[in-house]
Amino acid sequence: MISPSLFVTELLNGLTLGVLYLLIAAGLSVIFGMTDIINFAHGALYMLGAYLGLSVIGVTGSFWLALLIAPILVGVVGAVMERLTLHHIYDRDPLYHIILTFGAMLMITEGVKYVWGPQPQQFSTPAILAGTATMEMSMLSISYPIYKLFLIAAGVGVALLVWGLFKFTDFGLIVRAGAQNPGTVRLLGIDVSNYFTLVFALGAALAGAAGVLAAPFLSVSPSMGDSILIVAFITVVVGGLGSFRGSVVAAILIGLVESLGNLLVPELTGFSVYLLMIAVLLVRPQGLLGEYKVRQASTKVSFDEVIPPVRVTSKTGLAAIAVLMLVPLGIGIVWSSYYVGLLSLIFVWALLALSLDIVMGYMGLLSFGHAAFWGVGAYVTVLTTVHYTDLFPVALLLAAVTCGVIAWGIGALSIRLTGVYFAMITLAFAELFHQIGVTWSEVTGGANGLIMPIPQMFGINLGDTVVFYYLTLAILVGTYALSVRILDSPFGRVVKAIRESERRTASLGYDTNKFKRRAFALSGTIGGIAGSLFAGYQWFVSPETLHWVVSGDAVIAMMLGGMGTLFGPMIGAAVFIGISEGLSAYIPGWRFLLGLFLVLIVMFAPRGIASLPRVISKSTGDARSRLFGDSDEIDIADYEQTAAKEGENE
Amino acid sequence: MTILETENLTKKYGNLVAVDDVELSVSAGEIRSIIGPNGAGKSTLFDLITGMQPPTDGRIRFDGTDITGMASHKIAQRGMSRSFQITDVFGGLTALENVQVAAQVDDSRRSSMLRDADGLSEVHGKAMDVLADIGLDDRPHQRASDFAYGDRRKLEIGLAVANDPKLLLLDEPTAGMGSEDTNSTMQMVQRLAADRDFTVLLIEHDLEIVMNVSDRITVLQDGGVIAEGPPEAIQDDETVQEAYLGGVFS
Amino acid sequence: MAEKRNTECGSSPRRRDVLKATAAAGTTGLVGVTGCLTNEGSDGDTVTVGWLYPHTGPYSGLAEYQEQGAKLAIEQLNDSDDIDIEIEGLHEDTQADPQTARQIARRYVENENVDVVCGTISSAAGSAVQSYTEQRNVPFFPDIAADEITMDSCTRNTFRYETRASQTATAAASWAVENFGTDIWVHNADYLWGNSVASAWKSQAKSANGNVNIEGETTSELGATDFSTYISQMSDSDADWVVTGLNGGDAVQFLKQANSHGLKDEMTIVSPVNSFQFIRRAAPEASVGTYSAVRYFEGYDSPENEEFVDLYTDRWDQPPDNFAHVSWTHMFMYAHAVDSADSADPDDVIDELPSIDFTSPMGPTQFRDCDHQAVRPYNVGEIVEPDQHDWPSIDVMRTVSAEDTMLPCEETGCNF
Repeated sequence: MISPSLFVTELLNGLTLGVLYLLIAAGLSVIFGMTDIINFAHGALYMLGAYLGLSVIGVTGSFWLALLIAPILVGVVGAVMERLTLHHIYDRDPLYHIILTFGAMLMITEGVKYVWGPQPQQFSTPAILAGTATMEMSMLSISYPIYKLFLIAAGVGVALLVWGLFKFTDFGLIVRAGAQNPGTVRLLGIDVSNYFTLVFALGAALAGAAGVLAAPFLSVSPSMGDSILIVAFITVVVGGLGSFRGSVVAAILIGLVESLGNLLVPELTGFSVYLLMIAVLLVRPQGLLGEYKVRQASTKVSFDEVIPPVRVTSKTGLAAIAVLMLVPLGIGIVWSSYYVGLLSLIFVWALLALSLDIVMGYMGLLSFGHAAFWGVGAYVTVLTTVHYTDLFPVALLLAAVTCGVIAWGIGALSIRLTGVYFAMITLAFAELFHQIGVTWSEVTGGANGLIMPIPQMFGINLGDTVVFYYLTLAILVGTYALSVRILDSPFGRVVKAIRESERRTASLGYDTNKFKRRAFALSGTIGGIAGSLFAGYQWFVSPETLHWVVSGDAVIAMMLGGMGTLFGPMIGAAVFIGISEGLSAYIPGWRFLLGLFLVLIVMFAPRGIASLPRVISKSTGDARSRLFGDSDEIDIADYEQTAAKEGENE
Repeated sequence: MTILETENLTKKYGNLVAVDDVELSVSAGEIRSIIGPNGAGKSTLFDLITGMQPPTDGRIRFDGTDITGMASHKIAQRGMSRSFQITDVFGGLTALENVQVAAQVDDSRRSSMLRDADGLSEVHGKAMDVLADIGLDDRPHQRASDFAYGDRRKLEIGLAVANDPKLLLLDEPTAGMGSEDTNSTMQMVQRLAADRDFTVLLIEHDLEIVMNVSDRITVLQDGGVIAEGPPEAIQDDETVQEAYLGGVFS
Repeated sequence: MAEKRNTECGSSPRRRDVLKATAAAGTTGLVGVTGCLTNEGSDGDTVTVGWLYPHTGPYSGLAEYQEQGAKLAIEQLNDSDDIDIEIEGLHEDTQADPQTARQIARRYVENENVDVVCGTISSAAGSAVQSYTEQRNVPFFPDIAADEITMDSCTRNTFRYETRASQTATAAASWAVENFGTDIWVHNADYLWGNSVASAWKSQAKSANGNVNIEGETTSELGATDFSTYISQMSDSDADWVVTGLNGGDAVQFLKQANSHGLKDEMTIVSPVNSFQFIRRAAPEASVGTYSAVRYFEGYDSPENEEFVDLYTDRWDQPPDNFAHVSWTHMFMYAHAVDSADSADPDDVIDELPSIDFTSPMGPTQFRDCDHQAVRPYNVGEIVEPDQHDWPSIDVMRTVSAEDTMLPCEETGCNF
């Protein structure tokens, strides 16, 4: 029996969380509303706010000053970030915006680790807000931390302030008008692009404020932004992207579902939020209060040039395979078996990057959830070999099929939502699987993971480094050849057509959702094979295989190598694993460099390593004018076109 | 024979009535134009007919079937095709690949994963025919986005005819073109319609063209039909003149 | 500081500290490098030790001590005249990721030819590395406390000086029932060690007193940051005391939030690990007045500990915490085994280890033959106001002898 006091206390707990989510989601929503950008660095800015707050307190000793200064500083960081990067590429596909902010997230996180250290920091509650407030009524006896009551009040205050800012000031008026139609605002003699920067700074400052407010109650650590970013995504998905009111309602709802769910259905701890999201997606895909209207321009991925995949049977292809076939002969002479093992790890990552390229580079679906396939593939493999058969190929097949089915299911639930929506939802789905991996410990071994017997195949020991090397090489080459074939097939043509214009493809008579689901299932299947081989390499699986970091790493590998080329992502995987193995031992903050690479690639070589020969051969001046020249003109023209398209419908 | 028929077709956005109780009847083989001032609801009407937006009220019959509420790709499969006001071709694909995608939609192997798309010889032949018809057969392997504007507009139409439509909806096919291109494009449309035997529903701003090519004209204002008839009748219609043409023809 | 250089022995140039002559020890120049003796079963002169530290994640606060303890031990051993081996240490960050831990272990073994692998704190990383080192037959010294690793899933190559979670419960649980009452709330982080703690404390408390009543049980995720909902539930119950299977950052968060919710006024907080210096320093006000099993603390009164604390403080400018003393002890016990077996061959060392008698800062200890778990005494205490340092100290209230806490061999489920 739950006492009334406990119930009220839990309501307050839920409200505290809800207010926190609200502050984060509000910033995200504000930025998206004006710029159509989903800021993956938002969680990192929140964390930065907490750390800067810590330093301000360290210098001034005042929590109140921290609450004022830290958000301003974070706002400045946001503005600088926008001016240096996003500002020049608003006319690009949203995929690049997402990847750029992802790179920025890595840089901020590593920067914070460098300055403040990787350990969690202590942030004490200001003295005036310490202690508990007590309330006694007939049935109720509640004592509650004063700070958390303050947090609720402060959060509501900030939300009202933002609302007022947009509703009643000239700034708000211009921003709202600019979000609708930048061209018109420009005609009034206002430089909209400055407002883009201001809005980005405002969103960042909101995240910073949330960070300072959260710090005394949650722990301050470099990873504090990760989980909250996912919740913020779920909040805007549930509330409706671009709807401030929707975010408010959804944030409070999620806070309450989390804390009351914990009390009433403890079995669902950690799942309730995801279940809420899935339910909303099924019933109202546009969100509780949102109107689903993603601008055409914000859903399209297209490339300036076509870089055809290298064919397996071409000279380059055959030469590469021949060289790789010879590698194990050098063991003990040129390198140790460890490096041969490392190459098979690269092959496995290459498969994952390849699978991602099929949906991202060829179909234009922004998946940030490929960790789900990697991890599920690995778990299915380990579980199969532990419980049913030690025949590795059977486990591999089962993993591939399971992941294909899961991908199809995720697709069926969320594929009608394109663009940035899809990116957020796939991320959330992968986190759901991560949660299952952690929580369902009877089957998955929980956080500890599962150990697997050394893989076997018809009496061959796959635990042998060289044997496993040839196995992964063969599977990689086979999958690559098959993928090249599929993308040249009638099916592949339609997939590419969907990337170029989904509306047009549908108007020709294609059920585009069906094609998208199939392509996503295909990608999931290959991702599952990759995961299965990863388990075969590690002889071990743990929930980290399902963590969003894997999805991010896959995107990095794909981008590094060159999206939409099939062979590029494989090169990217090699470079990525090479960098992480090579640098991680020397440079503690190597992920900072990774983030920097990512940002530079988005800015200067959006087709990655595969396009480098061409990028370099062009004169720098030429490249500069192409990337930066009249960027304002371009993005405004683009928006005008977009607005015209929308105008058609009204 | 009537190929397209709408019955009190209505679309509302909140309080705004974009399409108001439209009754339309188009005969097979006809070239029908829809004219009206900006914001009259022409493009919305196209969206409703092609299933890209659901109507608030009313019915649509196409080729003997009620298609109200049907998904746009299903309607397209029944033989209705459209082009867009703002060019929407597959920029990253070659001209040939563009029309191939459109031409393979009726092929049973259209979603095969293992065949070579270029190996479907009927599709290839059909696509080359379309390219020849729109005058782009000299550059089949050029990327669509590398074509000049006028050629992209032609490809826009080529895509729409490559899947063998019975009814083609053209949304300002000559938008942004010079007068020379405009004329040749419209001649091309007339020729294609005759050769390939489809009905045309045309939105066009250039009234001279409209008067030249149309069999009948429907005039929309504020979402509703205010007049319908052959070009001469429309030209003389006083309501139309007052409400829309503002004496242009006088 | 240790100098960094490449070895000439064919292994790759990695971050490897060759601690042959260190400034800290103040001895002269390089001891002659006698060639490549580290490879497969070298016979004494130089051994390579691969260390794994979780410098990110919930245990990052503990890993710093772990690395310092290991490095101090290596420096001492290399300066020592008693033990005639040179130790070369490799030190890397696992980022608290078992996959990464395993990948590094793989490189240590296959590319660096290490003779022994040490470290890890989370049970996940520990068991990931354990199964790998077992495959490759390399001795492994995990600094983790989950039961399984020397019980059901024990392996012949695994040796643990760190206490088993259930050992801690054996005496502390009955003592807590005696002193605080029979109504108990059990909370733990949902992973191997946390679950070990919960089940051991429950069963030990029940067997100590038939009237024990478990008022409620809750679990949070590893790495959770908001414990409000659990604290509210505890506070609403009639529990006399709560035991928390939380460690590292989780434990700090819980203590701070429990403190701000006023939970300490309503019940006693008991923990197997809150005695850790890291936790006392991170949550000073919140930890005072709570009780904890004491695996180690810097003020422990023994000559060995005094010497250890002095050396450590000299070297690192702060006193050691539990994981410093565990990694330090592991290093010494391993070195003694290599020295007395006069071989670094894995099988020789594994056979030799159980016969090593060693006096650690917390007293005499030895690995048992049957499960390779160290036999050692430990304590229960209250966390009290600061004494010698700026952070809270500990009053040791009860010491339990080694024999009283050890599960009989046949009950461990261990079978190599």
